[in-house]
Amino acid sequence: MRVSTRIAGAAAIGLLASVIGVGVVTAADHVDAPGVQGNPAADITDFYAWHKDDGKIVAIITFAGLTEVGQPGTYDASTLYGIHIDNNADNVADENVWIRFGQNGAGDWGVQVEGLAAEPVVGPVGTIIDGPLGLRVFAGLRDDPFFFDLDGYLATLDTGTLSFNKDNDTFALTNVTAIVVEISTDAAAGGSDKIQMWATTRQ
Amino acid sequence: MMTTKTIQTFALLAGVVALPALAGCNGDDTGSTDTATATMTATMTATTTATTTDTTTDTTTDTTTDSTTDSTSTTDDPTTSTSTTSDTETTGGDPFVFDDTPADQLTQIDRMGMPAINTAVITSKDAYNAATPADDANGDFVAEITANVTGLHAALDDDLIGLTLTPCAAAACVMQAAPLVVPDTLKLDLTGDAGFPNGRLPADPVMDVTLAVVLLDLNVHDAGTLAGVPVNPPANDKAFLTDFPYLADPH
Repeated sequence: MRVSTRIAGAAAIGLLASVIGVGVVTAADHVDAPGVQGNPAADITDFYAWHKDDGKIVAIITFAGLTEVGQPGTYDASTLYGIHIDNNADNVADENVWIRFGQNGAGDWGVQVEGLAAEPVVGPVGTIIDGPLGLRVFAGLRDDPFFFDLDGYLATLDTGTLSFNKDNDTFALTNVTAIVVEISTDAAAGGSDKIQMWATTRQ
Repeated sequence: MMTTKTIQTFALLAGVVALPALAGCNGDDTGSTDTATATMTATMTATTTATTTDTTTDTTTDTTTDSTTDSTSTTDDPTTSTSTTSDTETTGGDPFVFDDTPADQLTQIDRMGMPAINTAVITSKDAYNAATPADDANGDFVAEITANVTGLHAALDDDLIGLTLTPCAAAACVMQAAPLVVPDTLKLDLTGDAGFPNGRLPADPVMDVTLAVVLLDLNVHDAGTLAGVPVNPPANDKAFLTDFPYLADPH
């Protein structure tokens, strides 16, 4: 029943365009845009950000959706990940956290995080890395945190009848690669009570 | 959890960011109904700041500024030249080596703020991924958001009514969703409790909430209505961790 081909978690309701006749015909294995097809490292599947009581903000970027069990994490040295923070309501980033992957001579993958700290934080993937100013980093293969009945959504679009099944999580038993960053709220917010955040990939 | 608090959060968040796109909506919504107007008025009450920024001149300036500023901000990457050095120190004799191309020399491939916006209500998908929140706020994508929401309602309103739910009129849906999805960012009110749409935690039922905001008349229904049923799976297949890194181990 599960879709075996790649679909970005965020692409869950991607076939809307075909239903409403706006000229885009997509298929069940469609990612969120043509430009990220075949480019899993750059294809963001979900973005999470929330503030905690301990003065930290957590931000998570997941990508390479629908990685099958047994497959490794997706690390690409040519992709730059960005977490952006606007803390003065002008819709432009005031703080940027940049994340890259790179290898050592032995071929092991490491992660580098820059921004909100004096020095870049570097360490191997798959481990928790603590840096200055409360910066904490993890990058590696994780269960896909996204849950949604994509099959039901597709059926809804096919039939024009609401067809969701709360017992069918299309993204169950699949993995993603994740970047998890915990940063100082004070450093991110710059004294503001209201901020907005988003994630980008560049190549 | 997702009851009246959610509604209040919407109202709160509506005031977070400037929303010139809302004004753009007004002009685009040729089919604007009384309901839509009423909803928009209610929304605008919470977005006084936004309505004062709705001039075309202002937003055009924003866009121009954004393109420049975004590029400039990407040069907030002063550490790239030193990163290799620090890596060596961190990893001993076999350092990780990282590309040091400045961000402003790379091309933006994808972006994400709110869940599923591009895939749900955007037609120009690659252009959307290459754009910025300032472009969103400028109203660049409001016409296609409106068209897509309208199409969704044409297909599903009969079912919603059959379930004794009250759909919003398409224009009203766009108005009630705009504070959350335009610009396409996660909004965090640090003085309130975290939980979608005040930020997004892994366990939050974002799809049912998003569907409710797009489909239902929030003057009648709570944004947590569909999540309360629930319509979609209410939780992940693996339990999230209570501590960092929060996401469950891979399968």
